[in-house]
Amino acid sequence: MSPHAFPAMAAAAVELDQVSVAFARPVLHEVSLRVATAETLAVIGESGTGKSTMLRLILGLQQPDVGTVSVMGHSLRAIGRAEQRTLRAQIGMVFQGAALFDSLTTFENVAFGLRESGVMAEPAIRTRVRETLALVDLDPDEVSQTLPAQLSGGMRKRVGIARAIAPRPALLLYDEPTAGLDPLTSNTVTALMQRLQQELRVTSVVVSHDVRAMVRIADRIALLHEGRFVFVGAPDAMRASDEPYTQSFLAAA
Amino acid sequence: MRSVLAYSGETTPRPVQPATQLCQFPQPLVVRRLFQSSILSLQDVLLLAWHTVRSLPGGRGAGARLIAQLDAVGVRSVPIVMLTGLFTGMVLALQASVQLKQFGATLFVGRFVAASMLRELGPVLSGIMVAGRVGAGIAAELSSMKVTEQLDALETMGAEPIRVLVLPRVIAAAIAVPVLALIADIAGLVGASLVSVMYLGVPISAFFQAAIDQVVIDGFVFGMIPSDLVQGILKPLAFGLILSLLACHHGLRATGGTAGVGVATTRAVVSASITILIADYFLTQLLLVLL
Ligand SMILES: Nc1ncnc2c1ncn2[C@@H]1O[C@H](COP(=O)(O)OP(=O)(O)OP(=O)(O)O)[C@@H](O)[C@H]1O
Ligand SMILES: [Mg+2]
Repeated sequence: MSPHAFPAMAAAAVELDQVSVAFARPVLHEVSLRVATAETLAVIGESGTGKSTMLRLILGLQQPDVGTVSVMGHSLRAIGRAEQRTLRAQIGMVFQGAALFDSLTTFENVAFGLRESGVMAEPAIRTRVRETLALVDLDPDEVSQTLPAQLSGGMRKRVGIARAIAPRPALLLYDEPTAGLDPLTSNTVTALMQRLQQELRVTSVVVSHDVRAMVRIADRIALLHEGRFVFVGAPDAMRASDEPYTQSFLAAA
Repeated sequence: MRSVLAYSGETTPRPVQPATQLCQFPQPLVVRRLFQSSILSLQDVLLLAWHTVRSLPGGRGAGARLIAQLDAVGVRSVPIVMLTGLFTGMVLALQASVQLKQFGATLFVGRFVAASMLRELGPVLSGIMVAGRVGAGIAAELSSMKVTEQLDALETMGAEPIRVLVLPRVIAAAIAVPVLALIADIAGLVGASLVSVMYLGVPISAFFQAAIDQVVIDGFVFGMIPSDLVQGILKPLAFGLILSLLACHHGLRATGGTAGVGVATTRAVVSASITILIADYFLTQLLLVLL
């Protein structure tokens, strides 16, 4: 299936070309998708359809059985360890369960990527971490020294976002950023994502089943069903779509 | 039969083998599967060892990580290893005294305890105690990081889990277990000396003189290093490598949410303890030939 409404001139930040993945059963089947630079693409779909798997492919944590995944023009199949590292340094990932490091404080979690890449000096890192915590509406003085276990779910999500954006990546991947949050906190996180898009101008791929939030923040929406994208296009086009599964998915939301 | 199988948490009940088939011996299929799976995991563990070696010297912050692990693996295991050594030495002295008293040879208690503690019990007991305490801890920590995607997060941020998690734990265990074994040896000799002073009336100096005699009799490597001590250090070094690599292996391989953490922990402790005992036999044989 050809990607719809892809801005013709824009360079692709992420490109999936005829990608198939199977575990015990097929998960993704000959999936193709392009994400334009500075675009926000939402991937929606039922539980277990392979949305997280798609993000793992983009991160190179997993190789597809068939097909190629390219990030910022580099095919992940033909990539060396060092190149993989430099590429990953430009990607921020917000994990489904935040995946904060239990044994590190909030500050150390957010500083982790900065320290690991070794390009910033410690005072600059300190400033950057405080800035980033403020950016996600957390009080640096209050949360810096707390451990992840002492934070609420919503705060943990925000620390996870802060950790992902601290190195100012060119590509941000979110896995279910609003899942498991109450409607108010969920709105706050959505508004935060929207603000980050405007302030940092990053390419974002957001996996979610919160259709309403995605309609608000996405430039395009891709609907995954039984291993394929049954719809890819702008939110308005999605509402107008006469594809039966798309309609039933929207109706259920 | 369904309800019997239900506890194992399997979604599809396995076909139940008829009782006659279960009684047949040998069980070619079961044996073959067991053999295959242990060969496969041996291969995985060796691969993990290789990647661990390749990740040397460990990059930024390696020193701090190693020190933290030396504390967790070594320093915090001292009390438990000391207690184990102390009581093992005491009971060895007690058992030996019963035998040796008949021949009026109570002076030999020191020699008996020194030989058994230095060569066998110090290394094996500290290996197994550390496998229980530290191996379980490592497996639980790594497996919970695995099931909560923290390992993926590490990798995404350019920190390979083997370099930042496995390497410091393996090196710390390889350093700490030999030291702990020596501590167990000393505690064992102290315990044994107490028993022989109190029950057998052997003067404490005579006890330790006998222990030193034994070490001298067992000979020296390169004319200066007591061969008992070589055994007493090389073996726990191997045990430290074995228990930490197996714990990391089972931790990194964990699947299936929080239940996977328990499975990984149990596997780590059981496989490390058994492997230590088996390796002890072959290492002893090897060292007896070499020394
Ligand atoms: N490592 C793995 N081994 C075996 N099966 C896997 C593995 N990872 C994912 N799967 C399977 O692949 C399918 C897709 O998983 P994935 O996590 O990508 O779904 P998802 O769309 O993110 O679901 P959710 O919305 O619940 O997070 C699931 O059926 C899952 O069981
Ligand atoms: Mg998912």
